[in-house]
Order: sequence, then C-alpha cells, then structure tokens
Amino acid sequence: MNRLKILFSTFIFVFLLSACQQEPEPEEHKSTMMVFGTLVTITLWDVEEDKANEAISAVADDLSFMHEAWHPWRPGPMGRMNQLLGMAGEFTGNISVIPLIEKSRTLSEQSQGLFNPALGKLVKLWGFHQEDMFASFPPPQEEIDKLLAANPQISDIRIDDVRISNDNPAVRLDLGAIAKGEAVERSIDYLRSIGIDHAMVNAGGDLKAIGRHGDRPWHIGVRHPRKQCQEENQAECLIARLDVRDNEAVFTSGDYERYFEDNDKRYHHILDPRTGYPADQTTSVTVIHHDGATADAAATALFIAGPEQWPQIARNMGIEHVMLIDKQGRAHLTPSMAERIELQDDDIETVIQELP
Amino acid sequence: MTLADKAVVFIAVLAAGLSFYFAWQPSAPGTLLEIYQDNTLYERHSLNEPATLNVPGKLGDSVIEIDQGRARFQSSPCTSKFCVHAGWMQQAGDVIACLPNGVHIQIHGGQGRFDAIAF
Repeated sequence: MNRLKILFSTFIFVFLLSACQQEPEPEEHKSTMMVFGTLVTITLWDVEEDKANEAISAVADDLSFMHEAWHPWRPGPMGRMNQLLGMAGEFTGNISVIPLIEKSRTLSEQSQGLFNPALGKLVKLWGFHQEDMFASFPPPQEEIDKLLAANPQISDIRIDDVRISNDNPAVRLDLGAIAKGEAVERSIDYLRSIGIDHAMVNAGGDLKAIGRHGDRPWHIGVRHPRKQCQEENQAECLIARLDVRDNEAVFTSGDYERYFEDNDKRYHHILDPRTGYPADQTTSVTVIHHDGATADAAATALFIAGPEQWPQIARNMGIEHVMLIDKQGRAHLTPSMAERIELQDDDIETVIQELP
Repeated sequence: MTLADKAVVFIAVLAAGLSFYFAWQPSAPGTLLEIYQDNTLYERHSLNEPATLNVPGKLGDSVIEIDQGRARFQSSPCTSKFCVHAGWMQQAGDVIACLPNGVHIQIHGGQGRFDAIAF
C-alpha cells in the first residue's frame, strides 16, 4: 500500500509539473501578409478569434487599397495626379490623396525640405520606385543636375479645396517616405474604432502599437545597421531593444534596405534632395512619435540631415525620441531616447545630444 | 522502499527537473513552418522533418529547405535574393519573404523573444 502511494504521488507530481509545458489558450492573434509592397504583421491581444480574423482581413484590404491609391506610377488616384501635374492647367484632385498631400506639405516645410515628396522624378531616375529591380548604376549627372535646378517642391502645388494647380512642371509626387506611416496610423485608428485596445501593426519593420501585450509592454528589437547575421542569431543583429508604449509609432530608416551596388559602391534609396545622391553620413535613424506619418517622414529627414544637422530638424518636426547611427558606428541619442532604449552592445560609442 | 521504488522516485524527480528546464526556456524554437503563396496558406510542414519544397510563385519556383528545426529560402527567382541572403530562421514568429515572387514563410509554435524587429 505504502509503495503504491509513493508511486502514485510521484507520478501525480510529475504530471502536475509537466502541465507547466502546456501552452495557454492563445490570447495573441498574429498574422503576417504581403501588402503595401512589404510584409505586414498585425498582432492583436485579448480579442476573440472571429473578431480578430475579421479585423485582420479588413486592415489587409484597407492597406491594399491605400497602396494602389498612393502609388506614384500606377493607374490610381496618385498616378493620375502625377500625370496631370505634368500638364499645364487646373484639375480636380482625388480626395483619397489630398489630405495626405497637405500633411506632406507641412512635414516637408518643418524638415526644411529634407523630406521632399515632390522629387518623384529623382526617385524614378534612380529606379527606386520599383519593388525589386532597381537601376544597376547611378543616373547621368546632367539629368540629376537638371532636375535639382528645376527645384521641385510640394509648395509648388496649390490646393484650393479639391482644385489643384501646379507652378512647377518638374514636380511629381512620391509619398514613399510618408505613405507607410500614414497607412500604419490609419490601420491602428480602424482597430481602435472597432473596440480593439491592444494591437501592433508592423509594416516592414516600421510599426505602431496601442495598449500592451497582456501583462507586459510590447517588446521590440532594433536592427543593427551593419551586422550581417542570419535570422537564427536574431538577438546578435540587434543594436538596441525598446518597449513600445500605448499610442506610439517607431520608425526606422536605414541604408541597408533598398539598394544596389555598382563598382563595389552601395547606392541606397534615401536620396538627399540637396545633392540628388543617397545621403551618406548616416546608416540608420530610429524615431518614436505618436503619429505614424510624422515618425515616417522624420526618420527620412533626420537620416538625410546627418550627425551634424539632425537635432535642429528634430526640434522643428517636434520629434523628442531619436537614435541616429552615423557611419562611424556612433549612436547619437536624445536624452529622452537614451532613457528608453537599451543598447545591446556596451562597446558602442554614444553621444547624448540635447535638442536646441 | 525497495531498490525499484527508489529507482522510480529518482526517475520521476529527474523527469520533473527536465520538464521544468524545457518549460522555462526563454525563447522556444518554433515547431511548424507555414508557407504562403500570395498570402494564402500553401503548405504547413513540421520543422522536425527535413524537406526541400518547390513553391511556385509569380516569377517561378522558390525552393524552401527545412533541416534540423530550421528553414530557409534555398533559392528564389527574384533579382535581389534578399530572401536567400536572410539565411536560416528558427525562432517562432520569424518571417522571410520573397516579395516579387509572392512567397513567404513563417515559423509558428513557441514564443518569440520580440513582438517585432524595427528596421
């Protein structure tokens, strides 16, 4: 009898402990899909299965719609606008693009023209408007010079309600540096409007979160701009980790994402409107801001501004949390970013920079 | 207690210890690979069974290799080959995509370390 008891109780003990291994009921719904020309992952916490699936597919549909509507060269509302901008005279703009153009104008002014969405022709000249096949060598210098001399600015476009006219025939809109931010922002707005309080929308490494991931905040890693490593060693390719708070967007611009190589020189997609060439003083910029579109445009503008000029542009654009990695590998941080971010490598040289 | 009883207790305690160890691994490797073609699930495959799979896409076949609990794009018909250069992945939540070919793969099961990677 005694023996049986011992046997029985040890097995019960083992059984109870092994129950620790059981996965809890999924409170997380996570779905990844290819939309908006990138991989979008939507994570929802504490949402019923049916509602989660419906919400995820609604966001996916919206994102496909926005991608088509805002694509500069496809036959959608923005493509049509770009055609009409090339002709003299007034026309009626599509209301699915006008608010975004107005937002872009404000951000372009705040960035002192470093975020310049009127340089669609320059992006096209370099071939970065395509999803995969970029150019294989830089465009001729005289074409770059000609375009920069024409000085296309978004302020050349005059908007009177829905009537639009354009003073500068060189203007073509490419909202690539803000569209993803606006799309993430609208996706989060939609999720909130249907009563979802805890969610994260991650569009190709740029994201916005609301609420929390259960009893903890949303954890994210920030990719190291120079470490080449494989997915299996994910932690080693990170430069920093960060907890994202409610209603915060985190956007990163890096020179390692879209590029081509010619004669061992890398040409990436973040073009400096002052030179017409890829900005070459920075390797990555990460910003946190409540508005996705602002965060998106700011990440680009600060990347172009570089290690000297960024604090002033950040102040103009109202960005408090900035991490800029310069080409020597130094991390420039605003004091508020330094409080939030946990660098993964103790050897990294950090420069704390107050905003002016 | 006889020797057999002691052996049973010993094995039970060892098993308990091991179950603790496995249950509290901080970031469990994933167990299942999902392969998507144009955002539609094309195939689910255990990461424990080695395999080489041809997945047709818009441009041609992407070749997915599964080996030792890991998965990768062995080859893909796209120009940039970002998916192939991404190498092996094995953590739950990891995703690799060949956007031009419309094929992406994702690891499920277990808990990833991060909710997202910013880049």
